[in-house]
Amino acid sequence: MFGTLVHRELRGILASPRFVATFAVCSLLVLLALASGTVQYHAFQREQASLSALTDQQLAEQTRWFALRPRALRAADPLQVVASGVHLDTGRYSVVHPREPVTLRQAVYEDDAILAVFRDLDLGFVLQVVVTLYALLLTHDAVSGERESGVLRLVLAHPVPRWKVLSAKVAGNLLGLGVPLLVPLLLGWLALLLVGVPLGGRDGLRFALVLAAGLLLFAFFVVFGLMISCLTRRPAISFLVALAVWIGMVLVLPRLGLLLAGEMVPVPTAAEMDSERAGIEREMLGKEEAATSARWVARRREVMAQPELARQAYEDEKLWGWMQEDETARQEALTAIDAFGARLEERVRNLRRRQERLALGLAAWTPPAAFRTVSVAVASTDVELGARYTGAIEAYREEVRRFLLAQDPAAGAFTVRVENGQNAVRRGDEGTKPLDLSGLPRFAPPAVSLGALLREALAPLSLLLAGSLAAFGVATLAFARYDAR
Amino acid sequence: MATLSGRGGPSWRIVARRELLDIVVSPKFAWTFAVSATLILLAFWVGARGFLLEQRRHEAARAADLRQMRGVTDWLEVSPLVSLPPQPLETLVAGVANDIGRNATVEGRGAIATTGSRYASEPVAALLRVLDLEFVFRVVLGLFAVLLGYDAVCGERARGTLRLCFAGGLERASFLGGKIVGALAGLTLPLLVPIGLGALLFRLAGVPMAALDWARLALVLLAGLLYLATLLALSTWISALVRQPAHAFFLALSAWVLLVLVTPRAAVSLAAHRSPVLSRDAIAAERARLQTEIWARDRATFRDRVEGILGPGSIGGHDPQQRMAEVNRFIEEQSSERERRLGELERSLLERREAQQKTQRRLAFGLARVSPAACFTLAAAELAGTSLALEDELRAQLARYQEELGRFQMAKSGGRRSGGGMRLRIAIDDGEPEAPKPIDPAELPAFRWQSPNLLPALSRSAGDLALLLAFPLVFYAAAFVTFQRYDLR
Repeated sequence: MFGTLVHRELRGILASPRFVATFAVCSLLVLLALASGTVQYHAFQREQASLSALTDQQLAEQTRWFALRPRALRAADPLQVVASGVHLDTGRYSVVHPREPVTLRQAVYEDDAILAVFRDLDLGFVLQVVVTLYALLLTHDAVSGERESGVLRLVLAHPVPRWKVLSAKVAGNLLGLGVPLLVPLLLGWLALLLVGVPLGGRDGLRFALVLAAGLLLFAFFVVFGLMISCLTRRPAISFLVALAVWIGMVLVLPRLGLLLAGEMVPVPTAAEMDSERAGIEREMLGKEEAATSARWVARRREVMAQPELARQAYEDEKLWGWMQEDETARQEALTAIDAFGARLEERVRNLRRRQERLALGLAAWTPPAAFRTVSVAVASTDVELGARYTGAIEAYREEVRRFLLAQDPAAGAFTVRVENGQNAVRRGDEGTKPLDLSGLPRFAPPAVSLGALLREALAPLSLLLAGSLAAFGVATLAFARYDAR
Repeated sequence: MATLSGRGGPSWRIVARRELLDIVVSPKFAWTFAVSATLILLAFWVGARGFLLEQRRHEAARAADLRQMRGVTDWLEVSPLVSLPPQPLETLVAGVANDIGRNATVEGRGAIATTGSRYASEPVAALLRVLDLEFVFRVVLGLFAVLLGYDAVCGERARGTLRLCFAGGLERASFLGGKIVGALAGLTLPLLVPIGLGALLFRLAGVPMAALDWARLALVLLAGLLYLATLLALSTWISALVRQPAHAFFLALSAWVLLVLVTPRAAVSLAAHRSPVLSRDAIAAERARLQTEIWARDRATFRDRVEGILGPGSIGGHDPQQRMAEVNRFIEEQSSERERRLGELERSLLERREAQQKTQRRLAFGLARVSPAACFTLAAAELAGTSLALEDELRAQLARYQEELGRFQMAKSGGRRSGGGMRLRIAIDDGEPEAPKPIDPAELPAFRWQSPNLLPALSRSAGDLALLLAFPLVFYAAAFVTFQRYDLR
């Protein structure tokens, strides 16, 4: 009997014009989203390649170690095609300056604001917004509609337990709607592989994980639509309720979560941080410079205190020591500034983490948000993207700094000192030969292991599953008492 | 139905009144009104809070920037960090205000790079997006318009009331017109309450809205009204195309998904593919290439000249002051020349980029304008001053500020300005060092953002407004033609 019921559901779905239209629209959108993502991916790859070439050229032309400024670039990730997340809002590179903070610059949206006007069309958006709406649209009247048309009484006239009838409906809808949805998704995957988006191997697994989450989300909305249908008597009302829930879950709640989190945990902006850091830097360097000046005045006096004939010899003897003393003081000041900058960054980073966690936490308990959490986490385009890269680039900056110090421990600025117009002391290397860059460390983009991704995806995935089961439970209870008249 | 046979035949007004009454007493209305009123109030509240927060941050950043200039003794070392101040309307119609770089460190000359977009510094906001008035109108109210219009004709047919309507000799055109006007009134008139309350909230919260800002807001709302009229006319047409309300609903909702959510995004994505634009990186790369070339030459000349000036027996004799002035003059000449050449290259590349951008924008927006939602977004952003024109305006004003800063630095430090060159610090250890006087940061010219005029924005949005005006008429005409052959039974 169960088989017959499922069969009936399937026939009903596949023959309905509604289904055909939905299938057409969804397939079109899935393929469109993948196509637009592919274009975006290739463009990003090209940009990064040309920037990397420029960086290499500039490094090769540099003749002074202390002026070497490598760039650390974000890598193109094929999963960005699927879930762009904050990918287009995050800077594409940072200049690696031994002293200045790591700042990711030139986000795609900053560079080309036209792309931001209507935002991006990615597969995640289609699955999260369009497909869920259609799932509700196709299922919201599965029970109430049959009641209205009188079919329900006929079905229930058979000696079948009600939960079996409902299970058959769920199974039929999941099969009838889910399998056709898989077709464009798998075709799209194949097409991506053919146009050179490397979604095989490890990245193929990640892609499959996103698809699985998308199908789970879809399944949730199918069951949820059935549940609403069991809770209401008229299809028109079913739809209003379904739509209200959809608007709330998909469009409003995430934004609301952000708002509340912003109210609860304020975070200083980058501009405020920069100013604070620059202020401290200036203050400390100013102190250090004043101390150096004072020392030189004292040294001058010391020299003048010598008998006239011994002065030059005295100065020549002391000069190296003095300069070393100055250098040590300067390095100390710089270390103190770096330590302050690091503390400041740490503080702000912690605040931002808290705010982000709160916002995501407030918004994440709904199934669409859970899907987004999985998809952006798997695609590495979650809110931590910038922080991950900043951390990796900071580590890289340390490596570069150590490397540079090993090359030229006294790396300083080009200075000319005129002393009484008699002699000019000059320091700083002004070589004209290109540097040997073979030892310069290369930046390796941070990689998240597949295991870590799975662990991160586990909670939201189980939320999606639990949501479906709960909706099914409520639907079963409601359907058991449903008045079929 | 007695009212339908008024003086000189029943008019659309009666249909409109009936539709309005129908809507107001329906459960659908209570629900949609509650949702939209809440969202509108929320948008205003979020806007007010967000604006005040951003303003505090802006002031703090400015003050901190001035503070860190204390103790500086040389105006050439000053490179103020200026930023686009928050605007009240950008919280209601975000446009690209959160996507463009809003800060720039300005030096006396050279390229200005804007950085620090809000979405880049607050990735959660980028991921979850903001809730603004434009979103409420475009997405939520747009959906409600579709909900109100999809069964205008087929719903009445299904209920059997359609034939009754025409019993009194009502024109079909009047019927459709009345339906659309009535539904529009039913949808928008009640919204005047939350909008009015929201405006009051803005006043009470102390958001500094100028008279011009209110005018801009009114125009945005007008564009919203036209947009909702478009969707109502469209869904009324759909309701005349089919006989089953369920099918009409499905079609109308699909139209909403495609027009509101998909078409604009797809259009931009297509345009980005079809007509690429020279990136800022490519320009920076070209600039860097030329710079390396010139530097290599300049450095050699510089060494010779400075040695010549500072070396024994040079001009100025033993007077270090005079020799320093000589060195400075030379540095200034050299960097001016360098900047001139770099500027020339950059200008030509930027011109090329601008031309390409124009083509791309024309293509993208031309395609997107198939969708009334895109027209509304573009018009609203123009009117609120958060369109792409904001980015151009910011660049223009930053360039003007740079000029001012450069002139100021020239006046303060004997004909030199910062940026684009090497700086030579010469310490004269002449016994007791004469402490140089610190600068007074208050003297620094401040960057004052000039809100752009409404007129250019109006003229830029005129096309979209005209389209928004034409759409309802076109859909109304289509509905009329379809309805002429509609079987009333």
